[in-house]
Amino acid sequence: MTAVGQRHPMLDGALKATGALAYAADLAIDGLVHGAVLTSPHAHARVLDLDARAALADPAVLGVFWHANMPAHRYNSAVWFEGQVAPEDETMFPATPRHIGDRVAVVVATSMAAAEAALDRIAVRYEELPPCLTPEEADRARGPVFAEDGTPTFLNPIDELDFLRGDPDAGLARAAAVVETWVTTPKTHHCAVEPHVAIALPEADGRIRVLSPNQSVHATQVVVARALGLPARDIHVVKTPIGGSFGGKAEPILEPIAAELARRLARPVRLAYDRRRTFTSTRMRASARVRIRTGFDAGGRILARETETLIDIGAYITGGNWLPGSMLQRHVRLYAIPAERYRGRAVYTNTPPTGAFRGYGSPQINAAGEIHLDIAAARMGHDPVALRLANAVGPGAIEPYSGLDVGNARLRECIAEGAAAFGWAARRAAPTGPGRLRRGVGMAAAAHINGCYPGSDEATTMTLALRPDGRVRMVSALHDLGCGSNTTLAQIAAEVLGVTPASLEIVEADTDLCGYDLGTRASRMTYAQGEATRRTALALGEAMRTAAGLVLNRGAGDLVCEGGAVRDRDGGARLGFAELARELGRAAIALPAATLTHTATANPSSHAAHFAAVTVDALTGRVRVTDYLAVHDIGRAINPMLVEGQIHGGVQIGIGMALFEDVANDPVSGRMEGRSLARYILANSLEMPPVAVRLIEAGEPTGPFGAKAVGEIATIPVAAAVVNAVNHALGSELTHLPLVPERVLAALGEG
Amino acid sequence: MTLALVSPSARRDLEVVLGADPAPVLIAGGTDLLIAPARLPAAGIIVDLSRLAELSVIDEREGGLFVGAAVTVARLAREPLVHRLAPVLALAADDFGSVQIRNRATIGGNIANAAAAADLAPALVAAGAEAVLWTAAGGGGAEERLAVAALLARRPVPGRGRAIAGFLLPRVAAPRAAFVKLGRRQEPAIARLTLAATGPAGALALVAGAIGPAPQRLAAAEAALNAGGAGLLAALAAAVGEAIPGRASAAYKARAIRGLGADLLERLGTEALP
Repeated sequence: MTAVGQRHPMLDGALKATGALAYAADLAIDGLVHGAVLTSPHAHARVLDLDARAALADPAVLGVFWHANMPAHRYNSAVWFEGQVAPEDETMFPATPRHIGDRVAVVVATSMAAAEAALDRIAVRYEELPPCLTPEEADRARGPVFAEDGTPTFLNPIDELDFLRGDPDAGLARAAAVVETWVTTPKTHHCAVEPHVAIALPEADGRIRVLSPNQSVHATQVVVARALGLPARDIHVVKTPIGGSFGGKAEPILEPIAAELARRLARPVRLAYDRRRTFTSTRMRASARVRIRTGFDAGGRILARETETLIDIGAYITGGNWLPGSMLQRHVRLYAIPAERYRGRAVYTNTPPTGAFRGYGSPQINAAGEIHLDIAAARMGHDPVALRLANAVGPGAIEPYSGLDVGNARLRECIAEGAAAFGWAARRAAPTGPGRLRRGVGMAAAAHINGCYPGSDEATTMTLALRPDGRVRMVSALHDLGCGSNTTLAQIAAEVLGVTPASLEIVEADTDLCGYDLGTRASRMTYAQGEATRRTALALGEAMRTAAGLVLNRGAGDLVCEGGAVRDRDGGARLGFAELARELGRAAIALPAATLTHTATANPSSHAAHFAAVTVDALTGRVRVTDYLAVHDIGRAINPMLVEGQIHGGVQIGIGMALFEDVANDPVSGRMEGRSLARYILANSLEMPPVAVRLIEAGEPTGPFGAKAVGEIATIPVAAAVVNAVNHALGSELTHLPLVPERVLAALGEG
Repeated sequence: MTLALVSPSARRDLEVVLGADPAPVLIAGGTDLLIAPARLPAAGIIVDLSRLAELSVIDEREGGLFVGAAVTVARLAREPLVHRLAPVLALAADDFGSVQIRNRATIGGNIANAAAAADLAPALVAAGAEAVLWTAAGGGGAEERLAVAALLARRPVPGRGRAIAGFLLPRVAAPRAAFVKLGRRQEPAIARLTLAATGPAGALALVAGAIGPAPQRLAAAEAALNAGGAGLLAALAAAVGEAIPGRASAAYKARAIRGLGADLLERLGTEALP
């Protein structure tokens, strides 16, 4: 292996480090005008009237647009492909804004400063309506979600999913111990460095070009088209470099508005959110309240489990109707449980909408399940590692919800090797201390998916083509979200073609250039697009050997691609790729190219076991994570350095969810406390423990070179591992996240 | 409507512009003003204080220490003279914001911004610091002096037509000092509680920050501290209860300040006593 398994630096790393890479907000565009969005100060209100005269008095202001003069086509920002049926409850500018930060109007002006200044001169008359701010209250407002004419009612639940397997009542009845817990998880925000931005330009042929950092150009195209009431072919979407997404840019938010304004004004328009609006007016992780009741036999085997989730999805459905199912899918692929009852309900509240965020429901359900399991272990006197090993799924297990094989699932190795490497037994047995600083260790296991199979359209089309200069161009729906996925794919192609990853010329996603693809999400990129890359590279290699055979007068079978050249298998003649291109040009033979569509045929599990050590200050309630080990069942690491980077970032997000992060919508006013980076506390570098990474590389037969996903699972077990360590340190049963000092001290009782 | 930026390099030029109407906005490190654009005016005058050499002076003056208003927090934390003459200020500076903020933020800005959680305020009050204010032209180059505690009671700080020139800290023989802070994370963190203690052994002043709009000297806790520490933690908890009764954070802060009190005793080299 010359490329796969190498710690290759990111191909665009130097451009990023030197600031040379142009992000969407950096693009200089002639005649660009700027939009600024006016947002609702009320959690629920009707816009009665809007007076824009004072704003329009400034000649720099080109227009003020709101629900009365903008299209009101309903859409769902979480659809992925054309023709997809989804509940549509969002409009660009609702007549009845549903959360603080909901869009009320947009001002377009010749400068950003003029547009921002004009916001203050727009007079809006609102009729305030009673808001519904907690999921419990929302759950009581029941009824059909859409009226017969298709109008959203905003009644609940927006989705309810029941699942039954075996006989849980019988299992619970014969259990030696039954444990019940109630875990709640916070709404957390992506906090990508780059805030949301979209640029739209009228094209000469009447189409609208949209430039934005997004996770799927095709999804963006469909959502913009629906919002504007146009056919998708009229929208041309180009992905720009992303300064972080984590799911936050999976759904188009500003793109439809920018496109409509560009169409209407026949000028290029840019919309950009500042940090506050990125908090209040985009998407975040849905919160969950999860009750779990599990029956165990005396040895700790799980006999039956009942789970009930109540998910607060915020003001619009977006993809929230998928959450009860996606949580179930991940919940039931971790342990082998003979009897299971699950009910998941998702409800609207008048709080900012939720959407994709690294793991899509997994971190919530995993925190609930894994905190529950540790509380059960403590109550029954079992060791948490032993309890998990007794119940872990193994290779070839059938995941009961979808009925699919989990593949070469190496959960047990993650747990067992991790426990040994961490020194679990000795550290767990060490005294937690009676004094001010209490020490504890905790762990958690996780299971996640690889892509969307068997969901529709899990397919990727890729073209690899030899260029006249000897480089290889890769064209596909490529969406590197900043984590280096293009480098990973380049390594896969390079391995097959015998070149260096830098020989790949990568063309990122553009709806005019690439075939349909779901985009970078759902832990599908390495597994699905990586395999598409490997197969396409094999086809290109074949075409290159055939073409080189014409030049060298050899059969393709006598030639190999190696060391940047096509050469004789036995080491005779050799043609560098550039030389081959030149020779083919001279002979008027077309340069080799290969296009291939790969459709996933499986959805194996990725697994992980994480181990955390903490100290808890019994006087201030402050928690510090002092040591960390992440063990991942990765199949094979295409680039171990990038895998480690993903895991480090995942641990950072998970520590935030465990200890610090909560946008904290006030349950009375709906006002978001954490609407700035001063108030929304992230685990920054000083809070990060040393993170050791250990990879289990047992190979996944359906993945490229045996690889499977790490992007989302890296953050999934973190919160539970940290909370379990705190509960170990204190002998507590803390279950409400994040573990802010107030909650920690409350668990210690009156001191 | 115009917005002007002036960067005076002489005190006299500053005094002229201090009298402008509407009142000019003074800016030094910009760590508060530049992240809150709403607080910058759309029209009027912004005065950049960075070119006034006198505001960046640290020296011995009038038997004590003088620190110019535009001295950065990072410099306070590393300047040997500050460590020697006003160690509590150096300790507070070391706990302030984050590396990047310490490099830009100034002592004068921290006081003029008048945040309840200002890290340097309790240290200055505990050290018995006086602020030196320059006034608008027409005052004949007059200086106004008043205790930092009194300055922080003004609104706005430092008052119309005035600029903070610096701080005078009285010399204390063999000062002992400690500064402790509690935030939601290590740094940067807005202080939820701070304690500053300094003075000669047996006569330390003890001041708490972030339990009210301005730093508060805690008389009972101070007495306990000077008596060897017995009863300090209970006195601190009682003081928090009195300072912020009914606030959602009161119960937490009343408990957590015991932890800060224990830290304070440890830093002072005294065993924590119940």
